[in-house]
Amino acid sequence: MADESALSADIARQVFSTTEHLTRRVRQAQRGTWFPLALLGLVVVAAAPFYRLGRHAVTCDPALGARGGVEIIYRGTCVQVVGWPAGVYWISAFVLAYAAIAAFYVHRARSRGVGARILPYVGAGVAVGLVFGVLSGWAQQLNLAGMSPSGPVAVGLVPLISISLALFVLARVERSWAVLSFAVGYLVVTLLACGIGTRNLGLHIDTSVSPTWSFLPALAVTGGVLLLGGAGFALAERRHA
Amino acid sequence: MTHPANGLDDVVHQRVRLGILTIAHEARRVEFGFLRTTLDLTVGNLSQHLTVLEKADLIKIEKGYEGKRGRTWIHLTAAGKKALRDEISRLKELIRQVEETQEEDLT
Repeated sequence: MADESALSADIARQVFSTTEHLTRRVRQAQRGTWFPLALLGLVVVAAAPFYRLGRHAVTCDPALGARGGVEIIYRGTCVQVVGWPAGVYWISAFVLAYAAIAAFYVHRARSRGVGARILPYVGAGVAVGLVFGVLSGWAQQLNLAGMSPSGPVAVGLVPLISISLALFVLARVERSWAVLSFAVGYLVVTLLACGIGTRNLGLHIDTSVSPTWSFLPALAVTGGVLLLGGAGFALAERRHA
Repeated sequence: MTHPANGLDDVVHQRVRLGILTIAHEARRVEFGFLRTTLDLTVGNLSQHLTVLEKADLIKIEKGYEGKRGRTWIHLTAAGKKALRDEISRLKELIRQVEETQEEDLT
């Protein structure tokens, strides 16, 4: 009797190991992390002209400090920052990018013969992206610019944080520790890019970029991390295929 | 107290059918071809198992077309989800009981 019980327990363990193997196969077929990372990386890099569109060098007296819409005074140059061009870009780009991501996952799932679980990620990405896009583009009109711990200019970069927040939902949807680790790392990168926490860490990077292009390092780093992440996940998925 | 092995449902417990239910649960909906390649079955063999599960109301089979290509999709029903959950918990209970007995024998 004891032998029979031990045998049936062994069979039960085998059944569990088989079901775990099948579950992994399905998850591998459903995953496509490289696509959203690569696409959003391109979206971040493509935002640069819209940030530049909202920055104008103006004549002013640097000794008087920032006033009258002047946001940046750097080495004797005054730059007026207008948030709406980047805000409009982010809102449109997020809607289009997440629609493309949804289409990619649905097409891929259909061709592989499994269902897609992408709606929570796409929904979260669009919702958080729209909120952060509006905050970044119209922070002054909404009287939110002063609330940012990193100053009114960095508020324009907060849509980057929305990408990392949505990645946590993707990690849950794909049940992937690798995506979760990437989301945590990317959140840290985006917070630093927005200037949040840089003072506590004693970070001050002087890139000697002209103030009309001072947003460029943040976009290059955050976009680059997404593109590199996309390449890494693509290689990993190819190896598992 | 009844032994957990007595509570196992033969329709669900069979190796291939448990595999079908596991895949359908994880994938939400799964295509016939994916099941066939993943479980390494012939068309006839898989069809037989699907018929058993459909008759027991554990899965729903949906046939359609994508372009000119015929496609058969399998969904888990609410009864199928419950049956899979019950099967897993009975198997876990079985392992727990045997491990407890083995520990008692050792002490």
